[in-house]
Amino acid sequence: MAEQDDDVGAIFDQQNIKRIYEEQQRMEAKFKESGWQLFSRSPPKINSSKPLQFMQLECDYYTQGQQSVIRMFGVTAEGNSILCHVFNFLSFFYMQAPVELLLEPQHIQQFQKEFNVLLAKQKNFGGKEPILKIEVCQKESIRYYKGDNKKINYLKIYVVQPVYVAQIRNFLKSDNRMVCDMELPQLTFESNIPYALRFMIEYDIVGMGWIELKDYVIRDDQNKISSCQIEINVDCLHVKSIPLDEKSDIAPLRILSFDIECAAEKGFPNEEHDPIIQIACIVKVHNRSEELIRVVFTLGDCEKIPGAWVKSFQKEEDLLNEFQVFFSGLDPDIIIGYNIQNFDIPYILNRAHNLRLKNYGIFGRIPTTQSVIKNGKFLSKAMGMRETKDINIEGRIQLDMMIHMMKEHKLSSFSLNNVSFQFLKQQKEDVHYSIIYTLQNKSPETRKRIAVYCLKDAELPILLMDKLCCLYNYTEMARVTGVPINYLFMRGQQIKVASQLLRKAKHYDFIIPTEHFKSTDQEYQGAFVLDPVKNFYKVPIATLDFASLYPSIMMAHNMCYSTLLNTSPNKVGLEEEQVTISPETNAIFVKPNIRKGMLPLILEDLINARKKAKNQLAQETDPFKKAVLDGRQLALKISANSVYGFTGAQVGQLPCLEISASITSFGRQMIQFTRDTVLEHYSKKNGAQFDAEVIYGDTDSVMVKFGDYSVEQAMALGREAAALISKKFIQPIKLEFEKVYFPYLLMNRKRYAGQLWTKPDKPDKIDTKGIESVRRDNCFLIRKMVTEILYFLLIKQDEKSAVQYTKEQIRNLYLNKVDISELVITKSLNSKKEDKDGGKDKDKKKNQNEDDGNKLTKNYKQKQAHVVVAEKMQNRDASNAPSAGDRIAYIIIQGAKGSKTYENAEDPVEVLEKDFPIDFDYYVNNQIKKPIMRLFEFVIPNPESIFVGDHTMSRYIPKVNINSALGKFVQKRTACLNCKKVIKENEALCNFCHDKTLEIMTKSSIKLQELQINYHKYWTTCQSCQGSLLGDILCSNRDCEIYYKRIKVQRDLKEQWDEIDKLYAQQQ
Amino acid sequence: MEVETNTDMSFILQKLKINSEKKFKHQRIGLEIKQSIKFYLSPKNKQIKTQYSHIYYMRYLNLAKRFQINSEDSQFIELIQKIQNQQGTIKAIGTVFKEMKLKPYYFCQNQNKSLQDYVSNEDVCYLEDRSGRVKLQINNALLCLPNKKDKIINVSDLVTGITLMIEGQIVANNIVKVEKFYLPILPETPMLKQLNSTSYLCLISGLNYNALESTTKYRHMIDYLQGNLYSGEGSEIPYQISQVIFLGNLYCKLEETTDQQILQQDFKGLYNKLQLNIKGVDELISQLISVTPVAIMPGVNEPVSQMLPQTPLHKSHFPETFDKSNQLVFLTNPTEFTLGDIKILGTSGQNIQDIKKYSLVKNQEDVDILEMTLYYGHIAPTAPDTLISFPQQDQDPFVLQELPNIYFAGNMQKFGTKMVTDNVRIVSVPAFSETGTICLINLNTLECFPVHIQ
Repeated sequence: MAEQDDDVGAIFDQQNIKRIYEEQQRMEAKFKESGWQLFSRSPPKINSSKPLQFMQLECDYYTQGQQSVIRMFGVTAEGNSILCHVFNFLSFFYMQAPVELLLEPQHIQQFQKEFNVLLAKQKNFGGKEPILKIEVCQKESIRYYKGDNKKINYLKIYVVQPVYVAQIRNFLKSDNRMVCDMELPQLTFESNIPYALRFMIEYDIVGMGWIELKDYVIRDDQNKISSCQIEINVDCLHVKSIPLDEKSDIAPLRILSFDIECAAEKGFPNEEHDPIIQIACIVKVHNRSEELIRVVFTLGDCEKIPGAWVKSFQKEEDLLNEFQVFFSGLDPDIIIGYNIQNFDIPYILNRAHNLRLKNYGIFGRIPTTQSVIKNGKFLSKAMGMRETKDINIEGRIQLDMMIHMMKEHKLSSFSLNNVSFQFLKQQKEDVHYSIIYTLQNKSPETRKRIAVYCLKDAELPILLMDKLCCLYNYTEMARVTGVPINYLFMRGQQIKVASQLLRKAKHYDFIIPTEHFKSTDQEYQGAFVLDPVKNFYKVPIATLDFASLYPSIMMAHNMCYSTLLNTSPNKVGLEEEQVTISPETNAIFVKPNIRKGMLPLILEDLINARKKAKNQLAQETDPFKKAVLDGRQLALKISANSVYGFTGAQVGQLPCLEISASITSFGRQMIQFTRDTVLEHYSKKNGAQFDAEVIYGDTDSVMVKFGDYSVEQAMALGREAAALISKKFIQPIKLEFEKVYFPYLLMNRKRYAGQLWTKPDKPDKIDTKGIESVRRDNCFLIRKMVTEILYFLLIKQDEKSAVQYTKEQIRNLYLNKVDISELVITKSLNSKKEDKDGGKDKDKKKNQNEDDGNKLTKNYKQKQAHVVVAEKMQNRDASNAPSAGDRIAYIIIQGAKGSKTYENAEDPVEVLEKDFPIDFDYYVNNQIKKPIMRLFEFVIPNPESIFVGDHTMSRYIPKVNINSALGKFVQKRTACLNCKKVIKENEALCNFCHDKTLEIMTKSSIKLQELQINYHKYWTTCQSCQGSLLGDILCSNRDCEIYYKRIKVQRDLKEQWDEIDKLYAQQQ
Repeated sequence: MEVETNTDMSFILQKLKINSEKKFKHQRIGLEIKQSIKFYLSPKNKQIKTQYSHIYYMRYLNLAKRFQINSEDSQFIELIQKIQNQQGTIKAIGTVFKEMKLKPYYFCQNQNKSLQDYVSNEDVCYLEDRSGRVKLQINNALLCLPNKKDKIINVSDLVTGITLMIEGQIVANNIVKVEKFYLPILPETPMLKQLNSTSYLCLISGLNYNALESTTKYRHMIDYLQGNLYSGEGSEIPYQISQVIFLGNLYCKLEETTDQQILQQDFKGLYNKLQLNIKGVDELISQLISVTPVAIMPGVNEPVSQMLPQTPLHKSHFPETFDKSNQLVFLTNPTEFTLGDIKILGTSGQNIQDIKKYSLVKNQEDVDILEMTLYYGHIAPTAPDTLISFPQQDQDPFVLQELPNIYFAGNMQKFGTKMVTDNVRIVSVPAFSETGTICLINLNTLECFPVHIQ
């Protein structure tokens, strides 16, 4: 709501022009001096007699004296950067004309004059007259159906400066609002729209859309205010948007990805004293496969890197300056990176500040505007609200891939390692920041190691962006919803729907009230869930889904602000059959033949456009165009779904609980109706072979057990039922049959697993929901076991083997045969303070953390395991200590009797090196048991039995470690390698086992071979991952399983080899 | 049992005939085997703290100085990192790294395990030295061979680990289009001292002894070597054999499964089979040891360390043989030794098999690949990348420091032999179990021929 208040444009002073020109000349000279001009954009060629086309990137405004000028940054199809100044566009809002007001021009003029006089007295306006002109127009408020053609007179009030809109709106809240003895209404219309967006809506311009200009004037270099290659003056009347069906490609945007490295002697780098030692940049032009250039700027000499430019500096100041020269000279349209918004860019700016660099931070396209850091917020899918930093970089788009990932994906870890492994299937070498300090201070060769690493970190965001089609998806989202692309990063969902609603309303002469809402506690019933009948089903379960449930309900019942009645139908002259009354909520909506709602129209557009895009997608063969189309259909789908949210958002722009509550009530009714129809129609009573059962239903789907049929039969029945039920609903509501689960393990609400079939001949895959297999704080062993057990249950349909497998795993665990990397548990370390006194927080988490077992939660005020490990690491080696935000990996080891679990948490590397005994009971009882029991609950009668029996009896007895506390009390004696009998020193086998030498040796050798093969596998994998044969592996990526395996196999192999040598020696 | 008489053979047989007319004495010359320590792992070495990168580094250091470089050649670039400052034609030395799409990769679960080789059209070669990597564009480049017969090669001919000098054009940032590949200069041609009398070295590989199958062919082989089987042309040859070497794979492969977990669980059953094979081979060797000196190399199937260089077998495997004589010599794999004054170098074949897996040399004979490894100056280039080997610190033991008189590889598909230069004989020894072939080399003339035993 406060958007208008924030909508303050930059102020531009004509005096600056000269300074800008000089600044620009200076930067260009430096750029040439550094030899980068090879990579600058090609010079523009404009024929000013012809229309000029460009793709709009960013749209905002500035004020120059009294005038507000829209500025649009963009790129032409030839790849030239452009800034377009649009003049003479006036900001406006609507207000209902007071009934007493006479509408002849002279009265209106009188009204305007007196209104201005009144306003000028207010201190906000400082004596200035804000209103420029007033027009009378016929409009209708979008809220409520008031009868056919109830347009009334509204005043369209144009103001001198955009900020005045909000100021007048605020003024009208006061009691003193008499003009010409008429009381002005408090309510204003469309007075909260950002000026730039207003302009775009008026001219049908969409974000990332193409624009054509006529009658424009090209500014010469001395009059430019930006570093763009072309600057244009144009009157708003000569701006025309090019429809997307005519031109929908994406201009050749320049993308710059970068990453910085800092060297800190201790702990995490701090911008006050720890220098930036390297900045790596990779520049790419959109849609071109090869990179334009890759550069790394280093502090201190650095050996050359094939394929990259290396520029070394002795002073950090010079490095930072050169980076800025490079950056502005390469003139990127999009800046990407990983965590650049909250780390890299702020670090650079703060570092420059601490070094007292003058004129630093010119990263935008306005050479006199420095980038500054502001605090902001964003909503993350996985983590809720997060603090973030906003940095102004005019005319360029910032796309922080880390924020993108947090917004769009639910992952347990957002480290670049994990993300690139998940999405690119690339493990990434991870050099710990403590090692970086050492490498930096050693030699040009070690600094090169950092540089190679740094370049990789700059490359991965580009690969991620390409892989996830981010640019396409964001572009299409901007185009579909019409907002400038940066709104998608900076603002919420609401503005997107508002933008569409405003556009649609304008077309139908509706106007949208700017209302003030207090948040209420009023809640409405959400989606309907049919209680699951938990069981393990060995017959096909058909799934019936409502396609796009909420959008189709809105369309079917014509639900909109403009079709909702706030009175009884007969009062607006309607018959009962001309309206729809929603179940439960009893809201009344006009049927579409009386008036079509705006929201259904928007949805129709979106859904038709999506259908079209999907059809084109099916026919398209060019991968680039395919990506565009796929991004488009996805954006359309998301947009359609967010319309429902718009009506339900209580502190939103235009909440309407009658609509949102009615939508869900229709949804509930439909699910129940579907259930009842299925039960009725597919019953023995009605001639079916079996009585059908509905075993589960959630929001938009119903799971049906038709009976003991084959998959093919169940599919036919599913299709039939879907068609039958669809007929009973109003278009476009459609019940679809898509898939059959067979077998199907239904454990709880939103927790199930099944083998999914879409074709009768063979199953597609295993589909699961809410199963432990993805949660990161579980150890890998659980995830592996759950996956395996599901494989046995669902694919092999062999319950015995599933049980046997589980028992086998438990036995292996007790016998220490499970790989240590599978037992590593990770948790991310919050800021230390939070973890120490955050008792309250953990209270909430208590219920969720059941799996962690009693030991942890009973005493939640106690320290947490990962915090303890972090402290232990800190005490061992302060330079290697983890910091807030790091993920801490740990393993629970055996401790003294009665000790707390958290006390026994230990760094996995330490466990490996010191050979600490692992607390297998903890793993079995507190990690594995719950999720596994849940899986078997409906599969076998007594799942507890899996955890008792012979297989839990034999235990691995660890060797006593000579260096441990206990080791001091132990006398070391030589034991027979086979039977452990005590023998003479320097011997390998006892007399009895001596006869079996060959067998023992062979066994030992086979074990040796296995270890050797693994050793070779792990170490060569890391060697090729780091991208060099001749360099040592430095990686300490704790998200990577090989990291632990690599260390473990090294030790195991050595031990095994010693054993064999001993055997050989005895036989000589 | 007969000696095959193809054209080559008849020529040799004629020669033998002349010899045999002169002298017919069933007396063998005793020649001493002196192993070099190069392929022995010292206990200190087994710390296994060293990374594989050291092998590559030592290889580069060793081989880089063996290229013919004109000191005034301005095209020559000492370090690859300096390439980007150059334009036009350049020359540079480095180790090849081949990036392969189909190569099994740890993190890819869905590997096509049935693949026989991993070559694809999307493979890319890089040249690396200690300063960095450059991408190579190879389209019918010329490989300059020392015998002046230049060869046209492509990406599919190369494997990771070969050290070469390239000559080519810089075509894009960090991409060089290779026109010519140069090989390191071959070490000096070795001397060959004449012995007093005719003497043969006998190479046998891949017995793949399986006690559960017929063992007749092994008996025949022993009979032949004892001189009992044959009484025609060349029947005196067995008596002139002064050394028999078994080149690995004495025992048959036990299980097709590579799942070590299963192997360990079912150790008893496995061991019972293996025990029979060990006993069977021991019996054979014990019969042989009384008539001729025998040496044994380990191979992939033997229950010893698999990392190259493989550690020797152990006398526990040959109790019966050792009852009779303690003359049995255990060799490493690869092995390097002198037999009398003759320098011998050889492997049980893993080096060649691995090259075949990662390059398209299928239409080449095994012996040609063997020859190429001499030209590369390196007998096992794919170690340690794809060929499992020991992480050594101070040396790359597989660099060819000097030319041997005899260089062999066992367990090959086909017999083949060549003289590479004067006094250098190479031979690919096929698996006996498949072909019934053993190889004989005349230590005076280095003439080499196969003997087929049926």
